Amino acid sequence: MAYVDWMIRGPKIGACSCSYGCPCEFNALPTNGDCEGLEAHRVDEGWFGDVRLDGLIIGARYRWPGPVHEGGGVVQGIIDQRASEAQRDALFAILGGKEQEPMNRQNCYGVLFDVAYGPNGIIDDGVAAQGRGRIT
Amino acid sequence: MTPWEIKGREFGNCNCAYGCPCQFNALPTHGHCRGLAVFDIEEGYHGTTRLDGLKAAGIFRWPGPIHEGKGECVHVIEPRATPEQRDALLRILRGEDTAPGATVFQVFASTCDKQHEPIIADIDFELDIEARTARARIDGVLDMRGAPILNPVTGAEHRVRIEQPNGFEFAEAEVGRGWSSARGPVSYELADTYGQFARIHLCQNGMVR
Repeated sequence: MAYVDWMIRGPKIGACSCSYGCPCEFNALPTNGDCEGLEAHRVDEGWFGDVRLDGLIIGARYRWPGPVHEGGGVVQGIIDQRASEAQRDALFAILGGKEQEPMNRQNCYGVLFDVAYGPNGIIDDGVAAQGRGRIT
Repeated sequence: MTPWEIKGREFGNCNCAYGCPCQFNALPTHGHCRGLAVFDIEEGYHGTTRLDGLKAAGIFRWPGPIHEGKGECVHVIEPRATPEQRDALLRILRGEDTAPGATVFQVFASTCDKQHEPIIADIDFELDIEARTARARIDGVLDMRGAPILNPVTGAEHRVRIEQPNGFEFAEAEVGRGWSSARGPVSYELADTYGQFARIHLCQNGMVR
């Protein structure tokens, strides 16, 4: 299948409810049985078709009642307020798992959510590569 | 302090979930730790004693996280080791001739209240680090098997590594899963839990970089 050509590259910070060394990374079960997490990416370089995405920041917060692969999750994507409408659509397509192979990371997560809220959050602060950031 | 160095490969298995939390300084999955490892020495020495080609094993048990101590352990040395090699290996395994905290041997030994008399026995050991497969057998002492982790949805082999740039055991380990039957003075069974496949390169001051 032909997809819109896209790419994003840049640093990311993530945190979840598991103990250090999240067991899910190893295909073990989450530390406390369920999974709650959030993350932010800075797109240093990126595009979606003809739309450039350089410099934008995206985030997501999510919750699953059990291990991620059992599904039933809830997610909310968060898009930089500086994004134009075209950039917003592009980023939400990527975050939502569209225009990509099954089991690509965003798609893999995308199909495991029962509920996906629209991007109503805005990011007004930079996300430093050192692992500090703020989403308001 | 007699200088020493060993370069080799190891397979270890403990009772934690895949991706043993202890590697990240989190608490063990079930609150306590049972773990064992077999390794071979491709090249090694202790003072003037060469250790090339020898194998060894250690079987450990702690009632809580390793760093809280009160553990017990037993080491296994091959009968083909000369008395000098045997003494040298045991000094290394027991954390002697080693800076405090510098090697996994020293850390483990310092957290074990009881170190049983070493067992002298033949060690059969096969290991493919890249493939995450291993098999070890010491008659009457242990049987171990290692295999890759499988994805719970697709069944595909899952490849994942742990890097410890400032570690005291390995710089990088392939993570898989293991099954073990440990008998003798420290005995238990492990089934489908954390397995680690790694190259080791250690000396009296820790990892050789």
